[in-house]
Formats: sequence, C-alpha cells, structure tokens
Amino acid sequence: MSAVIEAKDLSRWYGIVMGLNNISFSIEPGLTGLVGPNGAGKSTLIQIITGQLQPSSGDLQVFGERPWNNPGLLKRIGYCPERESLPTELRPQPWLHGLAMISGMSRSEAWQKAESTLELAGLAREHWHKRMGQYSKGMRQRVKLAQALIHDPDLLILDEPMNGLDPMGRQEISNILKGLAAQGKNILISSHILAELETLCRNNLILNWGRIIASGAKGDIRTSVKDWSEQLAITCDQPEKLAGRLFEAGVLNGFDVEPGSEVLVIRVKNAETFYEQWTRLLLDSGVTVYEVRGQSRSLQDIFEKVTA
Amino acid sequence: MSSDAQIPVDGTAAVQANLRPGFFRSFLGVWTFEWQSRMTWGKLWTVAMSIFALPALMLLTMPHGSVDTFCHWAVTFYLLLVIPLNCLSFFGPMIRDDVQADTLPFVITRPLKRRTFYVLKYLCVMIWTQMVSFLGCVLFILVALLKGIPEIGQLMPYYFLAQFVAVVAFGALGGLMGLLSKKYMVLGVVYGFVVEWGIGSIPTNIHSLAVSFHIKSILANVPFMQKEFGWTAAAVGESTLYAMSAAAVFLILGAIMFSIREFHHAEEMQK
Repeated sequence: MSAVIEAKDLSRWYGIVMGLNNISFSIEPGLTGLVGPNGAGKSTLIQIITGQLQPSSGDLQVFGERPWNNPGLLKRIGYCPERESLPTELRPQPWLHGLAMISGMSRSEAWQKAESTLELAGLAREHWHKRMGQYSKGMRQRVKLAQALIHDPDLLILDEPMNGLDPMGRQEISNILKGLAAQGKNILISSHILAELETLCRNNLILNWGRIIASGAKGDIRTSVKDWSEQLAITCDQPEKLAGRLFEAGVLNGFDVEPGSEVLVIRVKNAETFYEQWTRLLLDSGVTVYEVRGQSRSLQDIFEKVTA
Repeated sequence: MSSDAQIPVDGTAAVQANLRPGFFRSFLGVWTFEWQSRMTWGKLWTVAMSIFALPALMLLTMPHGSVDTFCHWAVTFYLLLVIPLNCLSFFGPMIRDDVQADTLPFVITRPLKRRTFYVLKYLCVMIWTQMVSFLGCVLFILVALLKGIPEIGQLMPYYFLAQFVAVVAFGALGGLMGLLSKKYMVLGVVYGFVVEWGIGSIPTNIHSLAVSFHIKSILANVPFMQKEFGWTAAAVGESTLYAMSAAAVFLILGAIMFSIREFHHAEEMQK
C-alpha cells in the first residue's frame, strides 16, 4: 500500500525553537490519529502537510508531491483548522460558495455543493441565514468541517474537529468521518479527546517535543513502548497466594488485590515470558482460577505512558 | 449508526466536484467574500459618510464661482491626499486582516497560487475602492456645477481618469505597505512625504518616480488646472502608462513577498 503522507528527516525550527525534530514517518491510507500534548508539534506538522509552512530541513510528501505552493496537490487536500476563527460578517452559504469557486467549481456547482456540505456537516437550515459571528462553537466546527469537505478532497486534515461539540455532535461527526473513510477518503485527525481517536482511528502517530515517540496501530504501539505492562484480571479462590507466587517468579511489574475480592489484577513484565511460565506457575500455586480476562488499556493510558 | 455507516445525506455523495481552478472562477470566489463582508450596515454607513462629508462641506463653504477653492478641495485635498490615504486604509489591511482574523488558511490551502490570490484580492479591493472614489468624484463635480465653476465639463474626463489611476497605483502601494508592517499607515505617510512630495517636487526627471507627478500631468491637460497650479501637461497615455507601471511594480513586489512568506497568526501581529 503506498503511503499517503511520507516524511523523511523532517525538521522545522522557529528561530531557535524546535517545532519538529528530525522525524520520519509514513501514513497509510485510512483514518489516522495524531496525538500529542500542546507544543508537541502537531499543528506545525499539519501546517507543513497543508502547504502553509515549509520544512527547515528534510522532506515531506503528500501523494508523492511537496505541498508548498503546489495548487495541483492542494486540490486533493481538505483542511479544517483548529482555531474557531471564521469570517464573522459572512453567512455560511456565500462563504462556502466562494471557497468552492476558488477550488475550481462553477457558480451553480459551487452553490449546490455549499448546500449539500452544510447539510452533511449537520448545520441546521435555520442557521444558514445568520452571520457566522453569531455562531456557537459547535456550529462553527460544523461550518469548518463543511468547508474542508466542499471540494471532495482525497485527504482530509482535521485539527481538533470535535472541539466545542456536544456528545451527540461528536457522534454525528464521528459517523460522517467513518462514512468518508468507508468511501476511501484518507483522514488525519488531531485531537486531545483520545477516547474518540481510539474508536475512530486504526493507526495513530504520537508526538511529543517535536519527536515521534510511537506510531502504528494501537497494538503495535503498545508492544513498541518500553516497560509497557500487559494487564490481566484473574478471578480465583486465593488471589493473594497467586499474586505472591507470580511476584516471586519475577514475571510481574505489579498487582492489585482488593480485600475480600476474588479478583487479582496483574501487570506483566514481558507478555512472552509470562505466558511461557504461566501454566507451570499456576499449577505450582495450587490456586483455582475461574476466569482470566485481558484488560485492554486505552490510547489515553499509552499516551500518558509514552509522554511521561 | 454503525462504523460502516455511509454519509447520511445524498448531497456530497451525489454531487461529485468537478474542479477546474482558474483565474476567473477564483476571482468570483474572492469577490463573493469581499462584497459580502462589506455589505454590513456599519461598514456601509462609514463609507457613505466618507463619500458625502467632503462634498457636503465644500457645498456649504465654497463661494460661488471660486475656481481656486474648488481646485484646492477637489484636486489637492481629495485627489492627492484623501484618495491616497483611503487607499492605504483599504489596501493596507487586505491581507493583514485575514491573518489577524486567522481566516487566511481557509484560502491559502486551496488550489490557488499565493501570488494569484494576492492579485485577486487586490483587484477586488480595487474595484470596491474605485466605486467609492468614483462616487466621491461625481459628488465633487455636482457641487462644482451647482457652484457655477466654469469649464467643468472639460475637466471631467481628466478628473475621473486621474482618480482611476490614483486608486490603481496608490492601492498597489497600500497593499505592499500592509505586507511590510502593521504600521502601514505611518509607512505610507512617510513614503508620501519622501517620494510623492519630496522627490515629486524636484525639477529634474527624477520626479517621474512620484505617482502624484503623473496624476498632476494628466490634470494639467485642462487649461484652468494648468493656470491654477502651474503644472506641466504631458500626454495622457504616457502619464497613465508611467503610473500604471509604478502600480505593476508595487503589485509584483507584494505578490512575491506574499508568495515566499509564511504567516503565523500570533507572530504576524507583532510585526
């Protein structure tokens, strides 16, 4: 599968401040999450991808082309910026109409697309006649999403698209994005709401201090993170005894047992070594196990671990 | 809705975008924003005041038949001072306002060369400024007719041409000043003093560098203007060409600067 976005030794400085520090990565088609705390370099990366900034060194290509001052490529990219700024004195339809014409649509086509994308983004018709300065945060997000979609781009870059939306709105936008991904659109989403990224994106790119600290599918990230503990919940008749035996064998990073409970939660050091020894250790302990449940930890946990 | 859900409307799925970006389509797109953003009561009221205030003042204060007073109001004050200042205030913020409002990324991430966007933006603001300035000139001519200024019919074509040329050239200069500094008004006034007033008054060929010199040369084709100010007449086509060339230079410099610069919302406002 050819990469949608590919960066090689990409760096970007702002004077003496490092925005991106010699990063290399490749983003495959589909939905990809861009995760990182404030100042991690997410917006810098997005601005390079959308041709607003140039790399200080290294190279970044989208669909095999450099984005800076490349209208042919920008035709294929839709961008929804993080900030809520919209032209306050304009109404959404004429604004989208103008943007669609700049993107290369005829007047009639642009008008039709302005309406259909506003509907798609879920902005209720009764708000279409208002100037955008009167819009709530959620309404602005919908108009921003609509302008990113208006020219049917192959790649959508969404910087914090869920900001300001209520839970229902988030669900709606998630569904729209999933629908677009199902149609073959490539989407890169940056968000602080990791739980949403987790349900939306198969792959993630975790940035911190201008560096990529983990990338790939959640499972791959988990295995690539040093000291990452697989977590298991074991229901048994003697949890303290089992915990002691496993701890003595040196296969655990830690464990939790609630007094009076039959559930033992363990964090294993190395999954491979643990499963090799698990049956023997269990038989030796003489403990009766009723259930073993893997506790899949969230992207949030991984993010906290890798950015710690 | 399941994760495999299709887009919940027919619109986008049904209407496949047929993208053929071009200068004219992009112009119409940029014009849509410019026109709509100026059609607010507050802005229209300000423009109306700026159009009507000076002719109204002239009507109230000018003695009947006073060619001297008319020339100083309509030419020295309006054409050579108010229009250049208007151009600075209209064209200076044409990009800066978008950067300040952080709405520039919506346009520069579209399939349009930056230099083309700059030129389109200039054209749109220029059309609007021409309309406003033209109305102002029409009102001055009406006041002149009411006050019995002789030979006003002879002045009219030259006066409107001079207004057109002034907006084109000073507009391009204003746009460039806006890109150079947030204090574009100050920069423009300094430029005006040094080049338009200073260099423009030097009695050698170097005065050709001043746009105002060519505007004066156009107006000097009217005998009573020549008599009033003592300006030297030059061929209208030649003067217009010189002024337009200056506009082209300012515009090209602005377009190049806009093409190579990166715009950071927060940083930009400090410059």
